[in-house]
Amino acid sequence: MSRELTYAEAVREAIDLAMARDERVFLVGEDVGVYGGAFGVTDGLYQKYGPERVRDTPISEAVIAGVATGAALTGMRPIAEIQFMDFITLSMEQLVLQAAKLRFMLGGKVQVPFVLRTPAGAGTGAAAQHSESLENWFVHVPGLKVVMPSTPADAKGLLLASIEDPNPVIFVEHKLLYRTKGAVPEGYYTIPLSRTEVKRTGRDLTIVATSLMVVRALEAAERLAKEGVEVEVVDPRTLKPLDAEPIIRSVCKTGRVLIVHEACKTGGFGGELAAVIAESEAFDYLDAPIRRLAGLDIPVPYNRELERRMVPQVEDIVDAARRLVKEAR
Amino acid sequence: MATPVIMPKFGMAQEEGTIIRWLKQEGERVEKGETLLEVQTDKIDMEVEAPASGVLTDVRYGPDATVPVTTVIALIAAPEEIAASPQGPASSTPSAGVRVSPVAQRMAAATGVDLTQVIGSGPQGRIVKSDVAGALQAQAPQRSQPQEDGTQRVRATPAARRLAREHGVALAALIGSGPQGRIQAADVEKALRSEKRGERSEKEEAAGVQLGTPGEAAGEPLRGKRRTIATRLGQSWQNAPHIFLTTSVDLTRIDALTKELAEDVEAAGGRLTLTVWIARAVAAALRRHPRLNAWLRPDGEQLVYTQHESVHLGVAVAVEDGLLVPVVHNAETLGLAALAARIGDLSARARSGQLTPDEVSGGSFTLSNLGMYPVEHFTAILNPPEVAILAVGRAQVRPFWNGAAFEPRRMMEVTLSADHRVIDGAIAAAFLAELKRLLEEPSRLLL
Repeated sequence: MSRELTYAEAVREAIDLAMARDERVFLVGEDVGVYGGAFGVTDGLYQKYGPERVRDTPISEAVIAGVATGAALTGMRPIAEIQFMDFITLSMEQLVLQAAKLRFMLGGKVQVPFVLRTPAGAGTGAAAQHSESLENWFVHVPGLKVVMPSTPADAKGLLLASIEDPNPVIFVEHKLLYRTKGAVPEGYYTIPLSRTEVKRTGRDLTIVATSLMVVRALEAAERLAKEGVEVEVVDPRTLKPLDAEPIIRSVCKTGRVLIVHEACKTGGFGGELAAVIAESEAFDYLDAPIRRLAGLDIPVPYNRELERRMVPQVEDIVDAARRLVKEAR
Repeated sequence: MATPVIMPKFGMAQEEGTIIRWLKQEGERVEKGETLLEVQTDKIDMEVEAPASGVLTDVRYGPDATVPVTTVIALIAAPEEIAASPQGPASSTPSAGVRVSPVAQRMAAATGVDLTQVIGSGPQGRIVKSDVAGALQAQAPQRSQPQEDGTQRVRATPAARRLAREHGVALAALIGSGPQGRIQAADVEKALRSEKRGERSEKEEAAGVQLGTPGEAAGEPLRGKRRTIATRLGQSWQNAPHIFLTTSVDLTRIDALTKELAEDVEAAGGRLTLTVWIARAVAAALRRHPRLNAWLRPDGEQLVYTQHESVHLGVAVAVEDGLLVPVVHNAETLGLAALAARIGDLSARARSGQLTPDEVSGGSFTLSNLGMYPVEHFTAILNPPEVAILAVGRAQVRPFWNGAAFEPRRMMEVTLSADHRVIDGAIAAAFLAELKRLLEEPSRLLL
């Protein structure tokens, strides 16, 4: 049975289920306890599981990542939260030099099974230091997994799979997704990591999108369908390790691909996707250049209109898709 | 920053080019896409376009200089440098009173757009970025005109290239519907459809090519087996220098033996035709002259000659829509009866279209017999990669001088075609002499 839940509720339910099932699972982060998290995701968990298992920290992201790494090494299953992805910059050393590498450097004798949840993305008027999408920094680091769900059901299943995973997982949520609703199955279930999903099938154009952009791409596809353009929307869900096969298959089918993400275009995940596609057998099926629609290469502006312009909107996706299909017809 | 002008590589194998003449002089202003100089390669004369707008400087090689490809032969100084210098073209600076946004000004300077020719769309006629972009776009079509000499690489998407490859379509003959004439998959599909309908390509229409007078029946493009035959024979004729040697064969003894043996051969399931005799003799002759029982194939830049141990004798069979050459493998091991049965079986199945791929491949020598028609003599084109083929004409009674008088004898003419690249005339003649002897004295086939 499933029912409608918001993305935030789905994440909370996953944490709740994991904590109830496995006492090694605990929460650590800024204001995750009494306050219930900056976006209310962990609301009620402190009351249910107490201060031992829901731990508020000082304002130090290095501490949060360090605690998570250390606790994971000793056999715990921490779920850490970085309040805004922007501040993950302060935990880079712990994540990149320690958590990502210890299992390798110690010849597999230890595991680092933690999940670091963090909300990314612009759209809340929170300006340049509270709006970034830095997922691709972590995609570049061997030893880290990067998960970026776009729907409530995916968020729950992928979070539970991330908690079960023996490696550090950077679990990127989106602020604007927290209040989106969707059917979420009841009870404990996992969605395996590295499983790309086709969210909508179509024959004219493939849109590969991540996180919030999946939602926008689906809305764009809906509009384009009225013009007779059938868009296939593909969601990698796990950015690293990437399940490329369904993407390649889709591009072979449609011959055109538009990659959409919110993070800045230069050095973003779209470049990696484009390369994966161009290197694959899909190359011989491309009937137009691979195109990327991504955030502008600027800090996220505070001004709401400029902020809107900086990030791909539904109409931008419709426009880019329309041009791509038209030029290749 | 200056942009280098290099000696371009027009052809895959081209290693150097010779400058014929410079069309622009050092210090002259050039626009991107304008012709800078003419270059001669070992095959053609080509024009070299300016890779950027600016001023031509540092011309390093004059006329008649031969320069390796990709060598820098001159530089084009960037427009910014020119705009900053007093020699910069004054005309591109708008007259006083014309308003230009800073971005538009910078953009115009970088791209060489003449601002005096741009109409502003901003407040009080101010020229803004989009106006400069518009002016640039208006210039673009003239710059991206594809050259008609066919040396420029064809613009096509990977999907269009794959389709063209799979269906043997020449991309250069198509008109692209994509941006800047890029050929899309749909253009190739369209060409394939129109090919099916036997239509002329759009390019031919556009070029006003007259294919025939009005009212004349539409041509039919070659397809399938016929196209393969056309391609293979065309290549064979063009690549292999053929020599032809003809001899006549006295069939008196074969005719006598045929009468003796026909029934036995028939009992074994075959028919003792002249073709069977010739096949038997050819197999025997090839064992003694194995140089003709061979392949000559290209392998990269090289030609590879392979001599075969066994005789795999192809026998050309006319079928409804062309020609098939079923192969009698190891023909030298078969006696007359077995050979007759095998040839009969292969010919029948060739006509009913039931041959397997193995049965039509791997031949090392081909026999083509038109003796059932009133054809006295003909020459055959080599069946690649084979190096020899035998053409058999009709057997007929002719006067034969026996030293004292003419007597009637049944004779036939056979003509050997051989690939002169590997088969010398004497070798071909020796084989033909052997064949003639075996056919005229068939008891030698027992040896």
